[in-house]
This record gives sequence, C-alpha cells and structure tokens, in this order.
Amino acid sequence: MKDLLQEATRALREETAPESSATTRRRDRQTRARIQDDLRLPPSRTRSGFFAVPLAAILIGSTAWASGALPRIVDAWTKTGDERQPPVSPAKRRVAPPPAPVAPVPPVPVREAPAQPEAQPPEEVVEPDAVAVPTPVAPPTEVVAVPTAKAPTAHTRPAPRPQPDAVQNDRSTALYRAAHQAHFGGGGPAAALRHWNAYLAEAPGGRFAPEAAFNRAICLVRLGQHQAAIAALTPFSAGSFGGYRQSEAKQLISALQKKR
Amino acid sequence: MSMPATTLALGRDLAVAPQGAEELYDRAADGDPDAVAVIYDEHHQAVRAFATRLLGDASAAEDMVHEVFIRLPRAMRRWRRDGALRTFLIGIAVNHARHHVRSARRRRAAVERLAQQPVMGVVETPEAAMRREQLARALQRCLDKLPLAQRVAFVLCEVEERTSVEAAAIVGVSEGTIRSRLHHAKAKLRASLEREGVR
Repeated sequence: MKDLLQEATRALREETAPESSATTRRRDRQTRARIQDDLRLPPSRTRSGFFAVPLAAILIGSTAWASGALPRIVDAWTKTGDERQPPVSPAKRRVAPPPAPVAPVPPVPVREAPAQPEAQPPEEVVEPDAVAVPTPVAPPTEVVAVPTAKAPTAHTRPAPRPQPDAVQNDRSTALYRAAHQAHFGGGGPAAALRHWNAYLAEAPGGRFAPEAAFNRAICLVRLGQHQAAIAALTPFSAGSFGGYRQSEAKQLISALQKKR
Repeated sequence: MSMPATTLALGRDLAVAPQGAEELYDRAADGDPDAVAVIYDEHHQAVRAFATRLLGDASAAEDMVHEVFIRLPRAMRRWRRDGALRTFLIGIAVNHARHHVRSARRRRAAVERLAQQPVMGVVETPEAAMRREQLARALQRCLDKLPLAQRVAFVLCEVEERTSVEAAAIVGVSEGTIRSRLHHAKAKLRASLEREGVR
C-alpha cells in the first residue's frame, strides 16, 4: 500500500523547490535591496521608549509640581537673561501668584520621541477579501524626514529653507496619510479610492506608489468594480512590481474572473 | 569582499566557514548592509525554500526572508559561531515563524473563501502535475492544523530531508525531542489527510 503522507511530502518538496527564473531573480534582488535599505536606516526606538519617555516626563513634572519646584523651573525657562532675577527665598516665591503652569515648559525632547518608532513597521500581508486588515504601509522614512526632526536645533542655527523636494514630500506624505486613514480607519472604499487617486496623482513615482496602487485596487474590488480592479491588479500579477503582491494579485484576478 | 560561491544543494550547510568568513561575520554583526547582502546572496535560497515549505505561501515566505536578514546583525552578536551559518539562519527563521505562520494561514483561508474553492493555477496542467499540486496543498492545509513545533520538525526532517541531529541543532532542542515531535506530527498528518479525503 502506498504511503499517502510520503507522496504528499514529496509533492510539497517538489512544488516548493527553489526555482530560478527571471521573475524570481528580480524578486530576490528586490528583497536584497529592501534588506540593505532597511539596514541603512537608523535603528528605530523600542516601543518601551515610546511609552517610557512620556511617562518619565509626567512623573518628573508631577514630582516637581508637588515639591513646588515647577514654578521656579518655568520661570527660569521663560525669562530671558535680562529678565532673570536673583534667586529669592522659597517662602517669598510661594506668595506670588503661580505662573501659567505647564505651557511654557519646553516640550521638545518629549514630543520628538514618537517620530521614530514608526520608522519601520513590518510589512504584513493583505487578506484580499478582508481588506480592512491594516496593511502597514505607512511611510517610514518620509515621516522621519519631516522637518520637525530638526526642530531641536532651530534655536542655535537658522532654520533651513524648505527644499522643493521636501515640500512635495510633505504634501505627498499628508496625502498618503489621509488615504491610509480613509482606507484603514473606516472611511469607506469610495472615500479611500478618492484619496489613493489623489496620492497617486501627486506622486505617481513616489516611494509608496506600489502600496497605494495595490490598495486602490482593493478599493475597486470592494466597490464591485471588478473590471477596473482586474486592470489595476494586472501590473502586479504581471510582475511589473517584481514579486510585490504578485501572488495575491494573481489569486484576486483569478477569483474575480470566476465571479464574473 | 567576495565569498566563494557554494553549491546551494537543498538544505545542506557548509560544515566549515569559508576563508575570510570571520571578518564577514564581524561586519555583518556590526550591521554592515554589504556584508549582510553577501550572506543573503549565499543563503537566501535555502532560507526561502524553508520558509515557503513551512508557511505554504510565497508572500509570507518573502516577508520571513526579509525579517531573517534584517534581524541577522543583532542575532550574530549572540552567535557563538560553533555551527554552520545556514543552520543559524534557519534557526532565526524558526524563532520568528509564529506570526508568519498565522498570517499565511489567514491569507490562504481568505483567498480560498474568495475563490470559493481551493486556490489553484488556472492554466490546465497534465494530470500528474495536478495531482502533485493537490497533494501539496492538502498537506499544507494539514500542516496548518499542527502545533508549530511539530510543524517545524516535520518540514525540517521530512520535507527538507535533514537529519534529526541537524534539525535539533536548528531548533535548539535535543534529538529525542525532534524525533518525538516528528512522530506525533506524522501520525496527525496521516489522520488529517485521511479526513481531507485525499487518496
């Protein structure tokens, strides 16, 4: 009697044997380049840092407030050299009305923190019929590159004039964010489609154009525009984007064609 | 720096690190992208083949390959370099397999629901090729039902035809544990294939 498990194992081995074709070679090169790009990025901060820094700031702030030191710190930060007065006794200071408490505390070191944890969200897969699953295609480096990163040095150096590229990056990043929010934040496929179209019109060759194009195709699937969806998915299935979403596109096209 | 090309025989490791490897490993451990790229060139096929067999999904396998090499520098700092690098790389893949297995399973299930039948090539194939494809898919579905540890043991020993000693080194458990996992995996898979009605 033949061993079915053995036969199936052999079948799986053969079906998944490494192959070498133009498509796989291109996919291999793309993955290699992606790995190198990711390794060149500065290390992202850990999630614990994401929470620990604001928590530490709150703890220190509340301790300082409770001990009565915060008003003095606030004064010291808010007054310029000429305005600063010689230190006064704590008793005298308490008599004075407390200054507007927290607003002037320089928030730069704390607020800067969330910028980097977004740097490298791992890419996940999109479930074609459950497209609400958030595909983390949020722009990693564009977020880091936003000029806010340079804010801490602004008081020591003249602020650099925004370059045209940077301005466009800002705009395309904003469009991408809006599209992402509409797509994954429950904005509905029609709204998401409009936003993806806007992003692709702004940055047709942008860094996130492939993700945007794929998500746009998913919107078309959701809207029942199967013909347009197939047209949008065809470049992916044909390997125009290498191996990116190629198998999903093929499977989706096949499924859509069967539904027609 | 270039490394001598090695034969990428399926799942077979280099027993001895090639000359100049130590320097390459040091650079990779320091996060040098070029060094990691050299290691990628040498070993990506083996890692990808393992990932594809374990996950049963090409895209998820690609994500796993990416993750293995992204995590390589940090992992190499802890590596004692007392085994083959390829074994070590497959070990990294095993250690990070859990969420890839889940996402691959979800996606396969979703696509199959959408297509309302098991996903297959739409092109006509000869009967033998069709049967092979059906068997492979059936086995992949059965693998989805196994605990991850047993699934890894089965893929390493049966699909990749590694010895239990190799598999034990990759997973970081004793040879006996691997054999036991393999035994249970095979028993469950046989029963599972039968339930699927595969003949």
